[in-house]
Amino acid sequence: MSTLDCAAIGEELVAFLDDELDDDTRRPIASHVATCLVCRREVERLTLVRRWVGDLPAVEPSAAFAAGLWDKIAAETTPATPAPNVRVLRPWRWAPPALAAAAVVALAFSTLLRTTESPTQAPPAVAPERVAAPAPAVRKPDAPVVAARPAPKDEPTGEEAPQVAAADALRPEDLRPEDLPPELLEQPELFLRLPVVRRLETLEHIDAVHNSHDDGDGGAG
Amino acid sequence: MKPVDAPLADPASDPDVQLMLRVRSGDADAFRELFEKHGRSIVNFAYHFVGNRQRAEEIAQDVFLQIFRAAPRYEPTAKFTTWLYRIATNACLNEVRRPEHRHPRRSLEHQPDDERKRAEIAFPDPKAIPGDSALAGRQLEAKIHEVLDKLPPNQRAALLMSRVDGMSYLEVAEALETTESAVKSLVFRATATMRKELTEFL
Repeated sequence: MSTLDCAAIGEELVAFLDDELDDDTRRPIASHVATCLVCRREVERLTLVRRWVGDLPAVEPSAAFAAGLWDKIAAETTPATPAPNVRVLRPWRWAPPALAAAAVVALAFSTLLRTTESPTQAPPAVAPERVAAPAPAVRKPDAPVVAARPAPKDEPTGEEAPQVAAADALRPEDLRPEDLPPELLEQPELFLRLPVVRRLETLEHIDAVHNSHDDGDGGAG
Repeated sequence: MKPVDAPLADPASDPDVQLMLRVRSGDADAFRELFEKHGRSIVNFAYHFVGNRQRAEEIAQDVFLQIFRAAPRYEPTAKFTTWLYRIATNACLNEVRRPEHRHPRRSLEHQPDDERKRAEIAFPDPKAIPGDSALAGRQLEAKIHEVLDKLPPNQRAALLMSRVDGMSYLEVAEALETTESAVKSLVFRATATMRKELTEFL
């Protein structure tokens, strides 16, 4: 065979060595290789390369290999813990104390506002026995927070001190409906509009649940 | 091309297919048997493909996990190993295509002992190798891995399945979901590149 013939069979030599040729293709190649020194040498080199690749040393899997698979399968077959869902948090369990706490804050806030707007009016209907003295803190319009101190006897204190002490003195369980400002009793949703209330994380959850219902999302996931 | 291999004509005659059918029925022992039979081969295939032993083991685990997941829907349409290597090849291709794929093979100096306690590639005539023939064997192995890493992934997959795992061109074609003649071309080009790059060892 000519050199051109050697080039022509070049692309068949690997498949020839891999025994992937049908007889009609394989026989003439075998005849050529038997007589062509160049092709025979090339076959020897390709044979070596094929053998080296085929003899690449195998790595032994680590001891953790099989265990890792069984762990993954166990994780697949074990029922997964359901993802946290605000719908299953049962907000009615924590909503009452949160609302009560918010009511205390709102009441103190409302009382303070009334005091600020009409300083000459009588104190709001907070039972005297629930008012602590001395007042721990004083909230004035021009001085946000003033450290508590006993009022001097010569200062007019009758309207100020008892009214501003409610926030720390009241406890949620002490709260009665009549303690709340009437506008809040008439429109309870006003609670949720108070900035101080909205900052309470728990009530933001309530808001989220409330909004999700409003959006008409009835599916459970 | 050679005529179609007989075993592929009837996948049900493949013992691994029979095991897989038992897995489909919920037989955990059959799955364990398949894993013990082929797990090491898949680790090696993945190791030669991606060049990192730890990633290779993770890939092999994921391959068998996929098989486990697919068991309820399994239908024997080919030899089990064809299906197995198709999953393994896809997993390896996904790995090397990841942007963060940077797993250079460890140099010979940094190979742990357990990786070095392996049979080395044998030269045809060790006496013809000047110096330490064992070292030369490791150098040859490193060079082969270097060339493998440079091969296009499809050529790499075809060469490894054909040469390392002893699969026929038809089986490789089914695993790669291509034609037999395409595999013939892939294996030829990969071998030609390897032969060129290994000239210094020939």
